[in-house]
Amino acid sequence: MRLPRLGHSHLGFGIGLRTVHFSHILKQRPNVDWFEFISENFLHSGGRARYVLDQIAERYPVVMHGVSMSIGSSDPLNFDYLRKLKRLAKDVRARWVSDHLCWTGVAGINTHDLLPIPLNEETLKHVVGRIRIVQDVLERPLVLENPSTYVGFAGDTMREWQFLSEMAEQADCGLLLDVNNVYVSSVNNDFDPVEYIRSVPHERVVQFHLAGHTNCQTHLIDTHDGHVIEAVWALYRLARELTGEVSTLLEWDAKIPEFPVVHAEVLKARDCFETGRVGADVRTPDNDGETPVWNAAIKSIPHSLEFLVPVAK
Amino acid sequence: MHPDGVVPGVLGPVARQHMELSPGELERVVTRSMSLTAAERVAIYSRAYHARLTECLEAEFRVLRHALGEDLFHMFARSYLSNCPSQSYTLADLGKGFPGYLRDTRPAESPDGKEEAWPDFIIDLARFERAFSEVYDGPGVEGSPMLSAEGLRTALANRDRQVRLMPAASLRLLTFRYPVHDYFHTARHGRDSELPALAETFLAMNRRDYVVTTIELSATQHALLSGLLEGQTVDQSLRRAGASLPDQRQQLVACMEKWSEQGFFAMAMVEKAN
Repeated sequence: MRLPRLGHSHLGFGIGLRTVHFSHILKQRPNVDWFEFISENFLHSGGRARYVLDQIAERYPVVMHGVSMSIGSSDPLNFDYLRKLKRLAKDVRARWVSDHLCWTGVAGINTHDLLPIPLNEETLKHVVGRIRIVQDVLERPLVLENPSTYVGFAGDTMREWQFLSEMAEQADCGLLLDVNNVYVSSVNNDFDPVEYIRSVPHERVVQFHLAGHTNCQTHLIDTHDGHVIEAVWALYRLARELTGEVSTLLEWDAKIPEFPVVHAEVLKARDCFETGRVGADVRTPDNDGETPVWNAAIKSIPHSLEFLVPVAK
Repeated sequence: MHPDGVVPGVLGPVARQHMELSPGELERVVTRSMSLTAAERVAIYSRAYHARLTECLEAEFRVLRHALGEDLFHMFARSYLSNCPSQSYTLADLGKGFPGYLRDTRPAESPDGKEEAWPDFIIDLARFERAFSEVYDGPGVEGSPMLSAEGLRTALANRDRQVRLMPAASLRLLTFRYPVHDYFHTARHGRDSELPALAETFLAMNRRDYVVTTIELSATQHALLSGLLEGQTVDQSLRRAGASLPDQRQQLVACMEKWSEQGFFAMAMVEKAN
């Protein structure tokens, strides 16, 4: 039987490392379980950013999260990049290395965006082959995240959760289940997020992401610029029931508040599972933070617009 | 990502190399959702691409954006991104070619036929800000012992030896047509400033304890430091700077001692004189 989280430790509740919080973290040494950093921001850094990362890695568990591996691209893998990832992972003793199921560019160009791939047998075979090579270079299992998607393809023959399941099994890799991305993608692509959460291989989930997003009425955008909404908390509760304890990380990348606010947000994840509810400032249609909109007895989570709280741009 | 949107992108030559598709046929490839057409869904990525990368350039070239204003900066940024798309896995390289692109696309003259001065200032400012970014996050010497003034004096004391100075990894020697550093520091402190007068400006840019500093140099100091950074001996560099008299040499040696205290040099390499 496979070990849960592919044998990785449950690190607790972590925060995405952001430049604006560097001074606070170094001075205050907050009681945070762990940090995740964006790999590409530190691969070449010889300045203060790298110094701060080294200091933080001395005191806290850290995890690497990349955005440029482009595992789904038809361009060759960049071995110089992979070797730098490997060296950095060793230097800071990263617990695991993750990236996204996506492509970021082709013909040598990098869009610096997480572009969706068609989901079919051909792309599955392609991605699995590349994951195996990456894992050989890194000498460790790769962990791949489900990105938010805004398009689907006529060439899709599989649902995303089916693709992830087959991919993880054939490549023997881990999954970073971004619960907010499941929700955002479910609205944008008209699928049931509960079925998604129920269908992924739970023992392969190494990490969760939680984040805020922006409601554009006809679609959602994964902006990482605010609190986590109740619909996502409800999916998170379901996911944790199915996976058991899994390291959970909050991403907050834009309009970033002071560190204590971000820290309090991720601690809601701990509270929401232990108590079945989240804090009073969770935005709900009734502005009632004390009464959860959903509970574990509900089999599916509706995601029509009436449950989405419009966010002022 | 075509700068004018999805339909021009689909009809453009790059897309047509790979797929003959009219805008109306987009849903043969990309599906629509309950709320959006295929083109509208693709447009989400298109808008995000330009917005996000323009924002990255704004973050690196803040004072340039201040000098140009938002509209003109965005116009230059989008043109740069369209013509020089990123080919690096790190966003730290995104702005690397921006100063050169501004230089290469500099208008020769204004519509009324006169030579404009402000493009050169803008190019200089972009070069300065790019150099600042590279020094700030590039290789440095923090935590390593550096050559002190005392160490320099010791190295130079033996007249039978030639001395070369190894520069700090972060040290840059820069030349501008305008005193952009003054404008930069004024603007960064939130104060407005006029377009400065044309004045050849020599700067040393360095980093110490993760703080970037800029030091203005005279032409003579620039010549001296150029020689040292090119690997010439101290004596060769002093001659290059025109130090033919003892008091001229003494002044420039005092300069080098001050630079040593400012962390310009990693070490002195002493070798037998020829």
